[in-house]
Amino acid sequence: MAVPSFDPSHAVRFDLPHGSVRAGGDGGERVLLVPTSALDDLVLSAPQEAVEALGRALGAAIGRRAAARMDPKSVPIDAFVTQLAGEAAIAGVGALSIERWGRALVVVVEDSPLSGTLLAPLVAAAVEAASGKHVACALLSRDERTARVLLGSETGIARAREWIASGVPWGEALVKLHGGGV
Amino acid sequence: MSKTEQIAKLEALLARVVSRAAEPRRRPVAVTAARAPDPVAELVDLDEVDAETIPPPPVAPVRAPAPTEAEVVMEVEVVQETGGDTLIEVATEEVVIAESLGSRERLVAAAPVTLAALVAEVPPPERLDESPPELLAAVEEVEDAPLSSRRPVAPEPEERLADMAFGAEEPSPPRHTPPPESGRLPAAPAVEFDADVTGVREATPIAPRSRELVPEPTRAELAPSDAVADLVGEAQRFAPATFAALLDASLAL
Repeated sequence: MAVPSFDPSHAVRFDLPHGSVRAGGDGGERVLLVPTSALDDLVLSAPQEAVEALGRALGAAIGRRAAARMDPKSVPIDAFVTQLAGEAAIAGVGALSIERWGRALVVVVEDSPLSGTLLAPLVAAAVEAASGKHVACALLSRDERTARVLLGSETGIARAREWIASGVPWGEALVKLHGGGV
Repeated sequence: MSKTEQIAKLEALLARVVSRAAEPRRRPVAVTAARAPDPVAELVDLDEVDAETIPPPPVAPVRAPAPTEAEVVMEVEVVQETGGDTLIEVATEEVVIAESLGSRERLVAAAPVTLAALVAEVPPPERLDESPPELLAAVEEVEDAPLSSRRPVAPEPEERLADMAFGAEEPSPPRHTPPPESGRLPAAPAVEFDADVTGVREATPIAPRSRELVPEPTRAELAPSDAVADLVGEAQRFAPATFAALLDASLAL
């Protein structure tokens, strides 16, 4: 079955006489073009809870727009990723994809202007809003180009965070998350 | 022999020496160094002479063909008795040293020493216990090295002066060379060895290496094949059809 492509037509509407920008068509949510440097300053100065709340808010908006394009309960994996990645690209988050590490779901974001502490809750909230299920997240890795975010349950994410904090490589943490086998 | 006997003999010796010294001399007194041993007519076994009364050795009075200087030879005989006492006898006969005696009773010719100096060296009676060895040592100090000695014999001063003035036949290498200077040592001079002895024949000189490294690749020639992979086992069984199933599986970890 052919995967429906993402249709970005009229995804963002700029109302210049009124000075507004809306995402998602005419009745879409009003958005604001914010320089990424402003977000960086906020992440550096705000408490961790505030940063996480901001990320979740940004991700939830992306997830809601992606959910409007598909049936989250029956959509195939590639179709889901296509719609979610499309909305994330419109928002300027970066290029989103997923990796399956056994049963573990890892979301990969490339060329994102956001920091890892802001990106991880954003991804989790986007998937949560698009799928309708509560998702916890843990930042596995972040370099100049790529960020990997593990999605899972609260208990699983808590164990993975503990292993990574103790020095276990994130790849081994994923293996241990499966109980030693995939 | 007791000390008193030694003292008595030494006093008699001293008296003889003084009396001989007062007599008119036929030749100027000069004691030369011992010459190389000449063949003697008869050798004396000194072990047989080790008796209480030791006559002077029967040395044949062989004189030099044309002696330029008269020689007064002081013959000192040291007899080591079994009891440890030492007897020194000095004979003032005018003989020419013509032979070398044994090591224990060596005929000793000292450097030119005046008789007065020799008399002055006679220790007082109270020091006679320790004087004989010293006296003997003083006499032996001027002894030249025998032919069999390993001691280096320096050339006579006259010969050295002549060498310095007119040049020696072959300049002797310096006995003491300065220590080598610090730093890199000069390369050893090239020495040619006989190939028949060393067994090394016509070794080809090693070509100088260039400093630039040139890679020498060795690549395997592999033919393309589609039957390389041999899968063992099964692929991952988990293949969710929907994203919801995948998310549920991840949430179940």
